[in-house]
Amino acid sequence: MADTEHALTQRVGPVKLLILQGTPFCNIDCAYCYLPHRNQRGRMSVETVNAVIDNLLSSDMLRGPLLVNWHAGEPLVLPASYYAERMPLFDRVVAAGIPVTHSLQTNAMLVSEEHCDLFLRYDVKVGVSIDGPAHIHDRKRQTRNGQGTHAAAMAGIARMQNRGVSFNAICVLSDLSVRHPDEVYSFFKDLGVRAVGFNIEEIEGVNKTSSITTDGFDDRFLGFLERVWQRAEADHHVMRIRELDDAEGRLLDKHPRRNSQTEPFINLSVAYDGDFSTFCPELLGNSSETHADFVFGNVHTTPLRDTLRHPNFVAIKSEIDAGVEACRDTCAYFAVCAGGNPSNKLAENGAFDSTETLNCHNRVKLTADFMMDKLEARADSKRRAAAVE
Amino acid sequence: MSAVAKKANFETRLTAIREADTNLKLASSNAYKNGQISASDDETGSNWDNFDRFFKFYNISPE
Repeated sequence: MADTEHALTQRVGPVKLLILQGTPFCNIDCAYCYLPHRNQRGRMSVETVNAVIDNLLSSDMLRGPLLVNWHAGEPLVLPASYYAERMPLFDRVVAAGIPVTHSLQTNAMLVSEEHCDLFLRYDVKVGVSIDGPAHIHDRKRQTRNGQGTHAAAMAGIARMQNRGVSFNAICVLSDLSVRHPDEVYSFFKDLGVRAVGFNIEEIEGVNKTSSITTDGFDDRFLGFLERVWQRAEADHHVMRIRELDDAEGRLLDKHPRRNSQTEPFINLSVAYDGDFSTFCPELLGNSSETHADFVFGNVHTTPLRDTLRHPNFVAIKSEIDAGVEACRDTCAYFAVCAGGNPSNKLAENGAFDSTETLNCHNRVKLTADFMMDKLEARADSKRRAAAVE
Repeated sequence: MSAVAKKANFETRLTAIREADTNLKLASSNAYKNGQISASDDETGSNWDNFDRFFKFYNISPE
């Protein structure tokens, strides 16, 4: 069988995460942002959303719950009416037996009463991007005029809280924030979020530098984890810390690990104009010295399965696969990682077929070592307690 | 420690902690306790990494 024919008969997916770029525009200009087109004001049309749905339903790639995430720009630049017109279009997917959850990641600055109505009506899972107290947040999350955005974000959060809209938070960790673990932990605890995820500042996309490459960051990051762990233990883990939960799950889960960023069509990213990509969501709209783009088609004209014989897709998949195999051969942590993040590999190492990145080092390796020590200590403690009984 | 020795050491510790977990129930995370991690989430019997819990997006349902 020819390679292209073989590719077309492969079972791929299921698509679990559909990222829809309602608009690439963002109202602010964070220092670490990886998105390249955040000044553009395009909007995804109803026709394009319907084309996404048609394309998915006519593929064999919808085989389980689908999380729709409106992202890759600031989603609340768009009014609630924009989403109220588009979210019901997914009723066709639900009617096909596929549960659909809508979510979005926002800087919270533009939250309106109408947005709150929308969140409650459609049970939208809201994630707020906020980096802790103002003196940390405002260092990196600024307007185009260089003004801090913390006060406006807190006003939006207050609006959601007043309306009973629950949300989780994502905090980008910089070399500044890891020096203030108690302030950061207390901020999110006081905010009342159920869970916070710490994204360690990355070199990715159009963001070519990171504060975490400074000398001594490893020790400061581990110190941050230790203090956050102590606080979480004292609070009986009422507020969940994604990195701790995740490391614990990776270490204890006996099921084989698979990596949605190294296999095609687990993540599907669609730009406002219908161009689509897969693997890492950060690839959409970006380019590299070796790849002009990572667009594999347009939902209006390209059946998703046709991507499997797209020369660009075939080349990139081959490079990503080679990178995963290199990780398998060389990395002690492969069992809990399954091949790393290709977009980080490309940004930091210049190639998908490479191995360790800062993201691997911090989020996977240091965090796994930290949590392994904690679990071993917990096991010892439980054994001693059992022996006493 | 060589890379090979480090890999072997980590895998040995990983096996041991998973065996210990079978009886001692070591997890502190609600997700694990509630079976969201311990149950396979996939038709292949695998669990997916880097999905919504791990990646940029962190949207989890209320318990």
